[in-house]
Amino acid sequence: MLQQRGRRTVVDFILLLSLYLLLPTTAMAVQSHGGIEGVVSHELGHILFFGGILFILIQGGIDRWKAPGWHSFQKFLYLTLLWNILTFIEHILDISPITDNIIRINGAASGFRLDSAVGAFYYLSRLDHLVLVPALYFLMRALQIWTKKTGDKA
Amino acid sequence: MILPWWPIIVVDVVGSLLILAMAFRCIIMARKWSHDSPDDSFKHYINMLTMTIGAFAISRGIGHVVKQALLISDQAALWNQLSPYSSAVNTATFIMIAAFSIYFNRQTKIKLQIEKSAIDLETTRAAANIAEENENRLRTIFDNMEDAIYLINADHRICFFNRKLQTLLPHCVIDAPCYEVMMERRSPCPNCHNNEVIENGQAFNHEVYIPGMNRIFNMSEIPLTWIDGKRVKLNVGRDITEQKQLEDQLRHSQKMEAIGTLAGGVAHDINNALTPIIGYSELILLTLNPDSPLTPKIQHIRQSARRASELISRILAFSRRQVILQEERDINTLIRDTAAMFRSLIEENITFELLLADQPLRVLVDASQIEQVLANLVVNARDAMAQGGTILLETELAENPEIICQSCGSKAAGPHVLILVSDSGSGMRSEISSRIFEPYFTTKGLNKGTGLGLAMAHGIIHQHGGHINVSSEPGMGTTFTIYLPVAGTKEGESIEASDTTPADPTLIIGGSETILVVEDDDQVRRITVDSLQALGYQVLVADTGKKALEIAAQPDCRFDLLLTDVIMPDTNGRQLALEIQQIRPLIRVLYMSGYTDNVIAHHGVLDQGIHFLNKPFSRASLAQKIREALG
Repeated sequence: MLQQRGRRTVVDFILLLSLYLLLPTTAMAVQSHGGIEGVVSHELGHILFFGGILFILIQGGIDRWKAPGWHSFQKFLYLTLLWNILTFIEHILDISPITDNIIRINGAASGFRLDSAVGAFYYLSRLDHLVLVPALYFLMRALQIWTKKTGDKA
Repeated sequence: MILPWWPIIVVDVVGSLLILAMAFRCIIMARKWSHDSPDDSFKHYINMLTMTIGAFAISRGIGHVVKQALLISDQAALWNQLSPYSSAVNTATFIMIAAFSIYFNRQTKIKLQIEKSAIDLETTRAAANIAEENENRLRTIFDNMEDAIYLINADHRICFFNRKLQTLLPHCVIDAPCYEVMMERRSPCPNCHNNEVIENGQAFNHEVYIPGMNRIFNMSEIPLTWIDGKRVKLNVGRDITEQKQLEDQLRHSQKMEAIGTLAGGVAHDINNALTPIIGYSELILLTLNPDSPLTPKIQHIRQSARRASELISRILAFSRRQVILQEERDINTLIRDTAAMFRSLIEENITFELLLADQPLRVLVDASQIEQVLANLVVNARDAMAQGGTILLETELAENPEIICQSCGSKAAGPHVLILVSDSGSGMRSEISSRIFEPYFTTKGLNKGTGLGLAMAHGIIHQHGGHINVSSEPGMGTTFTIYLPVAGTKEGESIEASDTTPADPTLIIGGSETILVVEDDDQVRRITVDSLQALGYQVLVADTGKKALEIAAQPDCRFDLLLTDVIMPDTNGRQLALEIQQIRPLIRVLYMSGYTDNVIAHHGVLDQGIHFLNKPFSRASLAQKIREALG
C-alpha cells in the first residue's frame, strides 16, 4: 500500500515537472531565467563540449591515432573542436550589433551587409554545417572501419 | 557589399538533413559495433558519444529545418517560442558529451590500472607458482634424505623442515622458535650461530646434543638465500647418536680390555706370590701349638693374604677374567638358600622381602658368583637407606623382553630370567647412575666402599651372558634389574650340576698316589710340593713343560695325576696336558692358576670336564680338588 502511494507521488511529480518545463513562457521561474541566461548556458555547454573533446584528443594516446579508424575519429574530433569555436563565436555575435547588418524583407532575412571582418566572420560562421557535416562523416567513417574490423574478426 | 542570405539557408537545411541522416547511420553502426562487446569501455564510450551526438544532430537538424520552414512561412514568432527547447536540448547534449568524454578517460585509466594490476597479479602468481614448484622440488629432495634438514630465519624461527626431522620431532611446527622445540629453552642458546650464519655468511660444523629429540647430531649450519629471497640458516643434521653410543661402547670395551689385561697380568703374579704365603701359613699353623704366641700372627699373615686374594678376585671379576664354573640352577632356590646370608648383611631398620616367581627359573650360572653379585646389590641398597627402608628381591620370567643394556648398548632377545633388587632409599641422579658400574666409582665416603662392588657385579653378569640395568630417581629409590638367559635356550648350553661345595677346612683327605707337579714359579712349586707331601702323596716335580714331558716319557716313571700351572714361559698347561696324554692317555689333569688367559676357559667360562684349582689355594681346597680330579 505504501509502495503504491510512493510510486504515485513520483509519477505526479514527473507530470508536474514536465508541465512546468513545457510551458516556459507562462511559468514564472522561466521568466526569471530568460534573456541572456539561455545564451550563457548554451555557451557554457559549448565550452564543456570543447573541453570534453579536447580531453579525448589529449588523453587518447598518440599510438592509438595511427590505428585503423582512429585517424578518422581524430579528424571528427578536430572538426568538432573547430565547429565548437565557430558556433561559440557565432552565438556571441548573434547578440551583438553585427546582426543589424542582416537585411530583412518582411521580417525574413534576404541578405547581409558586409562592412567589416567581424561581419565576414559572422556570415561564414552561419555556414557551420560545412564543418559539422564533414565531422559527422568522419565519425561515420571511423565507425564503418571499426564495424568492418569487428565483422572480419567474427 | 551585400551578400545573399540564401546560401546560409541552403547550407542550413541541406546540412541539417545530412547530419540527421549520418547521425542515424552512426547510431545504428555504433550499436551494432558495441553490441557484441558490452565490457569494452571504448566501444561503450563511442556508443554513448554517438547516441548523444545523434541526439544533438536530430535536435539541431530538426530544429534548423523547422526554423527555416517557419521563417519562410512568416512564423517567426512561433520559432521564437520553440527555439529555447531546441537550444536547451543542444546544450544538454554538449554537457553529456563532455561528461562522457571525461568519464571515458577516467574509466580508461581505471581499466588500464586494473589491467596492469591483473598483469602484476599474474606475474606474482607465476612467480609464486615457480617458487612453489621449486619448494616442492627441494622438499622432495630433502624428504628423501636421511639427514634432518631445517631452515631457521633471522628470528630463530623454523621456516622449513623435512620428513626426517618430522619423524624425530613430531611436535615441530613451522614458525616455532628453534630454541623451544629443539633445545627446550625459553631464549636463544648462548652459543647460537644464527647471526654469524645469516648476517655474516659464515658456515659452521659441530656436534650438538638436541634435548628435544634426545639425540646427538653432527650439524652443518650453512647460509642460504631461500626461495622467497630471504636469508636463512640451513641446518643439515646427521644423526650420530648410535655412532656415539658405539664409540662409547668401544671405548668402554677397550678400557675393560686394558683393565682386564692389566688385572690378568697382576693377578697371575700376585696370586703366585700369595700362594706360598697362604700355603706356608697353613703348614706353619699345622705344626704350631694353638697356644703359641706365633699362632695369631701367622693367622694374620694368612688372613691378609686371603684379603689380597679376594681383591685380585674382584678385579678379575669386573674385567670378566675370573674363571667361573657354570651349572644349571634354579635361581629361586639359589636365592632362598642365600636369603639368610643377605639378611645378615642388613641393619634391623631395613626390611628384606622376597617376591619370587612361582615356577622354577633355570639358568646357567656360577652360583657363588651370582651370590656375590646379589650380596653386592643388597649391600649397595643397604648403604642407600641409612634411615631404614625396604629391600625387595624379585624374580620373574620374561618370555620376550626388550632388553637394551645401559652399559654395553647391546640388545638381547629371547626368554630371560629377571632378578630385581629394589630399595626405597635416596635414589640417584642420572649422571651418577650412568657411571654406577665404572670401577672405583663410588658415592660412599672414604673407607666405606671400594668402588668395585657394582663393577664386579656388572662384569660377572656379562660374563654369564646377561645384562644388568639400573633405574633410579632422586628420592624414589633404586632398582637393579639383572637379565640372565634361560638355561637351554642356546644349543649345547645345558650343563649338569656338579658338586661345587666349598672346601671344608676340617675335612682334609690325603692320598698315596703319585702326582707330577709342573710349576715355573719356585715358591709356588715348593709350597705345592710341600703341601702334597704333607697330604701323603708321592710328588714328581718339573719347573718347565719340557722337563715334564721328559719325565712323562720315561718308561719306568709312573704317576696318576698331572697338576700343572696354566701359564708358563715355554708352554701352557692345556698344551702340556694334551702332549702328556698322548704318551699316557689315562692320566688325570688338574690345572692351577691365578689367571687362565682363556687357555682352559673361554671368556672365563671353564671348559667342560676341566678340573681347576684357583690360586692362591688353601691346603684344604688343594686336597679336595686332588681327590675330585683323581676320582
